[in-house]
Amino acid sequence: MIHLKLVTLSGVKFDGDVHEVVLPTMTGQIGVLTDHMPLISAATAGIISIRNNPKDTDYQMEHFATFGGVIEVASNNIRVIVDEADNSSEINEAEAKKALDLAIKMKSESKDEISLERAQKLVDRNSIRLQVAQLKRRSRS
Amino acid sequence: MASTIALKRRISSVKNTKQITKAMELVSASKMRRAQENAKKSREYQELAYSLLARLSSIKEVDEHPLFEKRKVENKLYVSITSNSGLAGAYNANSLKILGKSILEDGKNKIDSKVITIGKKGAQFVRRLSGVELFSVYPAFGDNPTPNDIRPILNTILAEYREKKVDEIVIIYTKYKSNLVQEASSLSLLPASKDQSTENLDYKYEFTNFEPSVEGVLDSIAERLLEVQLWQCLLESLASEHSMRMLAMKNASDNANDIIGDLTLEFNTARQAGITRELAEISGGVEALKD
Repeated sequence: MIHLKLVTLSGVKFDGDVHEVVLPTMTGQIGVLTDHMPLISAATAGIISIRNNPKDTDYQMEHFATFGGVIEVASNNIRVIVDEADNSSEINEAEAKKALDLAIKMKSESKDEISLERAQKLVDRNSIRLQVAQLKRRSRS
Repeated sequence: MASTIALKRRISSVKNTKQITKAMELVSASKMRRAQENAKKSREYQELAYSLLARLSSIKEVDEHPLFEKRKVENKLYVSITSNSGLAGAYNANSLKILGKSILEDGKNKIDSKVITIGKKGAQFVRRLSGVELFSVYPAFGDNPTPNDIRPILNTILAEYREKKVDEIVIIYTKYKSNLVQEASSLSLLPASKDQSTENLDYKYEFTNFEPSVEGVLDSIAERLLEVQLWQCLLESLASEHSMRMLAMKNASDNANDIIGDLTLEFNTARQAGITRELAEISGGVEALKD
């Protein structure tokens, strides 16, 4: 077991012992298990997946949509410090879809670099949220 | 004994004052609730981020990064967080006292100090001080500050630090502990100091892996972590300001009530005395007519 603490600007989202955590880092996704080596890494936008028990299937994993921050692994403690992390239950799929469509539309309409960058960020953010929302549906069916 | 008309006027003037302080109390109470919630939510994030910054700065390789470089302190930059308006009890006075003390100490140690103030009251205070540079002045950000509001401040102070114009950056703010306890305190933003971190993980950084690299990690997270520090200080100060203002206004309303009670008593005595005197005069007149 390894202890995970997921801290965001809107409070602690997860605090407990887990079997495995899959984290999005700048160099790709990493899975962290018990006795992982000490690590400090920058997190990117992506999905944090948590497997609570060794026997849980992929469908039973808990997912959070996240958009960058820091990951610190040390002596069987994982600290994930990110700006936002939304659990699949906190995301409404229809709303996420709508937001994604809007972001894509914004991107196609943006003229200068700044607004393009902003729109791209929104597209990334909302596509991840949508993915997480869809993961929830798949796990239910 | 004062005349009844004068007393009546005083009573109504105190009543007006009470209405104002009561209204301000209620406004502050509702603002405080929101500010308090905001401050509490992100506090854990800030504490963890600060302890990470502090631990990062104790690693050898990190020394080369422009934001984590350690050098002899010759120039200090203070960021003082105060409010735009007064009537908040000792809110501004407490944090400015700390600022004044630190600047005095720097003067003794031959350290040049500059100040960035957020909030008008701080600027007024620093302008009166001698031997300190008022670097820039920002108004307080209102009740719902956004991260975009603090961006310019952060960019300025980081640029100053990178260009080695300042060697230490200290934020002076008011820490919100509870509705009744707020504490003016200072937080050294750069370099992050270890003794203030709330927790200690004892493990060796020699074995820690940085992915993709030390610079890569620091470049992508350092500014964000620092931004959160300033942000949280702002939120804590805001919560403190509102709860101190609420308390000050509550005391003012209570005092007004006491004064109204005293004045009413005096007014009634004066009125009764007048009635008694008139009765005595009338009965005296009747006695005189009888003869």
